[in-house]
Amino acid sequence: MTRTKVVVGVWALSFAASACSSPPADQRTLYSAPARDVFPAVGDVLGSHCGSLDCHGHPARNMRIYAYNGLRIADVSGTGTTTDAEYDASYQAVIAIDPEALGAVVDEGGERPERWIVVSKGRGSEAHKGHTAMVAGEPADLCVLSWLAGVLDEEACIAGAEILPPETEPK
Amino acid sequence: MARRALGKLAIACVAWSLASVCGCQDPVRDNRVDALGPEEPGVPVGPLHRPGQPCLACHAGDGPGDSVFSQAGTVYKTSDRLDPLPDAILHFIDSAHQEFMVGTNCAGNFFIDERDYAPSYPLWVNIEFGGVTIPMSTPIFREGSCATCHFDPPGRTSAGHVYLVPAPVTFPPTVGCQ
Repeated sequence: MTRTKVVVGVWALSFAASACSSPPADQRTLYSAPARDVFPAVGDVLGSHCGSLDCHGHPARNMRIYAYNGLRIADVSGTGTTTDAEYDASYQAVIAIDPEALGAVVDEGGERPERWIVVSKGRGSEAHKGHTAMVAGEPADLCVLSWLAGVLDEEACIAGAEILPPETEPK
Repeated sequence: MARRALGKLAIACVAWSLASVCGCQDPVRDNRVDALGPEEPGVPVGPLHRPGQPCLACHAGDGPGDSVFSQAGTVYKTSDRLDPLPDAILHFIDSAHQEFMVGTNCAGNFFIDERDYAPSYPLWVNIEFGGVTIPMSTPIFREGSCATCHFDPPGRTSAGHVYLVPAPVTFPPTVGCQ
């Protein structure tokens, strides 16, 4: 065996070893996330549009939305208001979805929000069992987008938190 | 001889593979149906059977129920008891403004054939009885069985059974149910 072959062999072995190694156990990758303090306004929108018990108000979902009118943390149902613990649990679940894309959207001031799967699925622009849960440009969508941009549109959030049947929709 | 045996073995393998591919069962669905248990004695299979159960477990198009429903469930009089509410009218309106009305039978059951009404979700519903109309406070987003979300006891994952009024009130007497 020539010296060159030995060098190449050692290099190949070390390359293979490094390719198979996992990241260190203490390695953490941090991504930006939208604000928690204003999340309740967004949580109310998500509760109405996404969090019914037959959709993201189901405990088996990774994006679990807790709200007074859907999934609860405590053993109550349909009564009272959404608690801070519930907003917190929803927030943690939401920002854990596709965090790399979410971080990029937040870092870029809310630019191209459709990169984040919660927006693209919510708008129905990609496969989503719940179809279009938030129509692009309507209050619920604007509320989420403003949250991602770091400047919450409170009016849009208030309007988007109500989901009314067609006959009673305000003109 | 050996070649013939090999041929038979090959045919058997192909048949077994085809059977396993074609005999597609949904074990989740099967478990859901099994969990409903047997029919109530004395109640024939039909419009009055299995009140309060998730109808589309069997009536979603892949059996074992023959009829296929888009929406179905059971309405009770009050929140504290399982007294069925007959003769209530359920008004549905979907996001495409399509409306549909259906009544409850003496078991409190109602069902809508998917050929009659295939709603575009979200879907809103009101219950009307005796001049009173009560809306369901949240829309339905995908589920056709009331009992998937409305089962007892009410808790963190359930709103409890579907009822007209929370407090006990006097209803007209119900005459039999067969």
